[in-house]
Amino acid sequence: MDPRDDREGEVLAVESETSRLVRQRFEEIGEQPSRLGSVDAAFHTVWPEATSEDWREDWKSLKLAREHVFLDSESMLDR
Amino acid sequence: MRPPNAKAELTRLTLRGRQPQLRKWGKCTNFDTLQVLKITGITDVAVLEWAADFARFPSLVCLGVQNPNDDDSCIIRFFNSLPPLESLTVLGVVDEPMVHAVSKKHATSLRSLSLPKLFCSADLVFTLREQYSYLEHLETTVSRTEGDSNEIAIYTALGSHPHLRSLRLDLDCSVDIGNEPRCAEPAFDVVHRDVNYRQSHVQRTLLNCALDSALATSIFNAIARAKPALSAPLLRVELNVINAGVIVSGGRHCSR
Repeated sequence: MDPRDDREGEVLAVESETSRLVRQRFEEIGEQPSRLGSVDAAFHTVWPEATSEDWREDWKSLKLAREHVFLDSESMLDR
Repeated sequence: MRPPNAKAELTRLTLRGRQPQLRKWGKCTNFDTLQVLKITGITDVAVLEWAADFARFPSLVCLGVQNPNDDDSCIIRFFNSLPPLESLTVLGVVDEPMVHAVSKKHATSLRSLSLPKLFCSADLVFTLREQYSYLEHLETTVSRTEGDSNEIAIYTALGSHPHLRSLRLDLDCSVDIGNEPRCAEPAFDVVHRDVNYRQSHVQRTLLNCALDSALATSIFNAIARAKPALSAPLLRVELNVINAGVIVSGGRHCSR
């Protein structure tokens, strides 16, 4: 943290210890991802670009609505 | 060395279990010196009744306690019997009336408030800001609604707390079917089996649960951007996904 405590810094997102330990445990034992099964259609509707064999590598978060607005505004300005 | 039969002068005491023996501890411990008290797992409200009526904790600054049942009158009486606290954690069910009740005694003294089972709307967050003006740490639950304007309003409201420096948010990812057919209705099972109906719930669940570093950063920024000028900077936000795959209707869990 900046010693003056008044400067905006970078935001660092870190995976929680619990999440990391669970994920590493799955990787250590070579656990294959569970099949999506009946969720498969919904998954590919949300992330149509998903092509990987491991669905865990294919998802990403949805932007907050305000960012949609920002992006829309920026694209309008670009025009 | 402590004289024989003199009570121990503890500064911290943690009791776990359904019926913690607070009264027995009171016979061998001087509660006057106790600064930190944690009582978790209670199912018997009698413990809090005794504490409210007969125990005194004049030095207490930090309390963690389980709310044992739906009748809040006893635990509120316990809160009112205490000196102004700096840190309070309430496990179990917490509703808005309890938030108001706690503020009567502890509003200006509290710096850390942990209410993990309290579902915060934007209005409730603003109420917290008005009542607990000096909070530096808050732990609560926010309902994810696919990152829409309602969800963002909650983050913005959190940012309006001038002294808040750290947050721990449980992100409730359950899907609220709201005005859709209720689980109590006979037709619910038929409707619930409908593929399209079910698929929309799954999609909403996936969208709510998809928390990665990009979204975590966005949520942090949404809160930090709303901080008033000259207020304490936001330093840390801990996010935790809960209730993934749960469908609720009017607050009632229908299926998992």
